[in-house]
Amino acid sequence: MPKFDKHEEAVMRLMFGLADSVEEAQPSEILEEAEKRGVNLLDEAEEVRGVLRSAGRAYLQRKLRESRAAYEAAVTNIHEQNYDLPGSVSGRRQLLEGVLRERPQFQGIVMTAQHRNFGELTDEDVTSFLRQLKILGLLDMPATPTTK
Amino acid sequence: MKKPAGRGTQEMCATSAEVIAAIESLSAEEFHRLKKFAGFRIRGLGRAAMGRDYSALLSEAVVSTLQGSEGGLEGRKWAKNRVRFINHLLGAMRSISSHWKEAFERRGTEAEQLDWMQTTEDEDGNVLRPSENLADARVDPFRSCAAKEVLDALDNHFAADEDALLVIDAKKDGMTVPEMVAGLGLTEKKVNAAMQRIRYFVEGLL
Repeated sequence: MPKFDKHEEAVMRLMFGLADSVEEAQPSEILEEAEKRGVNLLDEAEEVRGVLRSAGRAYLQRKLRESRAAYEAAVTNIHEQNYDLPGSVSGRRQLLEGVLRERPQFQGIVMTAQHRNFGELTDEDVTSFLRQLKILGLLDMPATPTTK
Repeated sequence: MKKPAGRGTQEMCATSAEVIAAIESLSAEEFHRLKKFAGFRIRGLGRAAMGRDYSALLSEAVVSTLQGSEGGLEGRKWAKNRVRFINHLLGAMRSISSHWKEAFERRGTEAEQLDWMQTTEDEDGNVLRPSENLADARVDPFRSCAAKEVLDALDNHFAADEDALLVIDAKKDGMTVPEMVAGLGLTEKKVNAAMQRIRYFVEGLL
């Protein structure tokens, strides 16, 4: 474990103390020091603003990438999952038709402004709806409550 | 707007949009103050800075604040109704640099990746590695100027400035301004004036 020697510790405390004094200094003192050093405050403001913007942008882009990756992983998962659906187009269509007949309340989910008639649904639509119902755990529900 | 858990109900934590807006509204004097503060913290870290410069510390403070704005447990939350944005950033930098010092003492010289540094791609698909922009620790100007030499330079420069020498010694011992006023017989005005002279000299030294 590296240790700081006594001189390093002393310099550290001194520098940290100077940093604290910067925080506590009046704006007039800060401006006076900048003027004495010949600092162009406008140029420096651009530089420091650039550092802050760039850090913020990099962070937000990383979050965006993470969100996109999570979304894509979820979509891939949907496609790769075994849904145990009928193998034929007509079989899938019959299954969905049966589900909607037995559970008319699902019609609102499937039939949208885009798909007003069952006959207009493509096989892709049918498969997608069946998958969604399966994921939601609605495909295996009994049509009517069972009685003992 | 989110209320952080465990804090007063009156305390409103800023959203990421508010953090971005606050960055854009900082004044030139505040940008200068941020850079100065970060510079002294980095110089104080010495070897523990591991090649980081003021911009790395400032960047980490912003990233941490944006993380905090998401409402989770990570990052530092800016209580925008209670704390000015610049004071929040100064506090974040103080905390982050102290953490870097502790991490250095714990892990030794094992290189650690900066939290905000992630490989990214630009719009043209070029891979950007921020670590490539890291200053080389071996050529860090402060490292080449040993701590003892800094202390000697201060002693020599302020040999005829008794107030500054007292303040330097007090700061080396970690004393605060009120402690200096109470213990050294200096007025607050004299302490602050000495501090300003020391800051000016140290900035020119490095």
